[in-house]
Amino acid sequence: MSSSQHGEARPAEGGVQRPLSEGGGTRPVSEGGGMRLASEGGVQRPAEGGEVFGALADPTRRALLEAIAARPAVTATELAAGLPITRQAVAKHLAALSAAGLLERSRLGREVRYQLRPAPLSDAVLWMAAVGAQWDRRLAELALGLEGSEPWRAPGGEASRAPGGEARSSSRDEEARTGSRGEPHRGGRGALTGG
Amino acid sequence: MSEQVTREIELDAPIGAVWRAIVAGSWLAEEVQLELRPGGEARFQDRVGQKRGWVEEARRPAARTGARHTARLCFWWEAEGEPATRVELALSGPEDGPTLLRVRETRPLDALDLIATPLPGAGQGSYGPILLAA
Repeated sequence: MSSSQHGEARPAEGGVQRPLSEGGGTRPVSEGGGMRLASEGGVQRPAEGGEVFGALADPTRRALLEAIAARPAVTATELAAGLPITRQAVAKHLAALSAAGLLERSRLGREVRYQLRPAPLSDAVLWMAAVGAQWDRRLAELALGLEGSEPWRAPGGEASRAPGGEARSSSRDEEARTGSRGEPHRGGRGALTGG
Repeated sequence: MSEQVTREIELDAPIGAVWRAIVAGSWLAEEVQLELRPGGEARFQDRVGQKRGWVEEARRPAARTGARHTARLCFWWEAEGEPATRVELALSGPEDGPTLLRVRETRPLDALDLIATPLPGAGQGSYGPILLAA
């Protein structure tokens, strides 16, 4: 499977990072959702906040959003071509994203095209998507490194650095393997194929 | 309130190895300097830039209940021009692994961010947010 699509997608806006390791060894914490709206305190959030966060808690949906953001308007088929999931799965995720108000649908003949609807993507949501993607990547790298190959496994600052990119570029398959093995069994892979 | 991101992962490694990778390796950034005491300085340098901050809590792996060991690192970091955020890394598991790592990164309100920014070169007593964030 190729995930290169992720790497090519431009960030949606400002700070969204590329989800290099989506579907890898991490998953959002289930209780309360990986990215939930904290309820304490008096700050007002849009009413759709909860739905938005729920929609974004899934790594595949975040990857989809970024793929959509990278283009003017795309169809489910086009999106499926660039991601390691079926068109049906894409359609399902698109429905969830639309329900959360994150996407706009337009019909052109028989085609339904999707584009990002930026309004509900508050700064908070963008931050959470970006930081979530960073942790997904870091945790996948950590899992890989602990299998014994990464230089940083040796403690101490004296070890010369291997750029993070090295681990990433050479380890797609490793990541996938780590993902399915290194976590309790309901995980990223399930999210990738099912939804 | 604050916005937060949480993740957890089960790592097939002893808790001590995970701890070392976090605090002494170059996992969090290419170059990591952590003073493992409350108020200690934290620096994270990599190609995309530098983050600076301070350590709120550092509890190295130790046996807690029965065979279960836990460890905890909590720090604040801040890239230049961005609000400071708080990162909690909680480890638990049998000594020989597997180790459960829970991550929580929170971004407090702007008002708190201002206070949370560590003063350059300031000593331990200058850090306010421990009290404010608790």
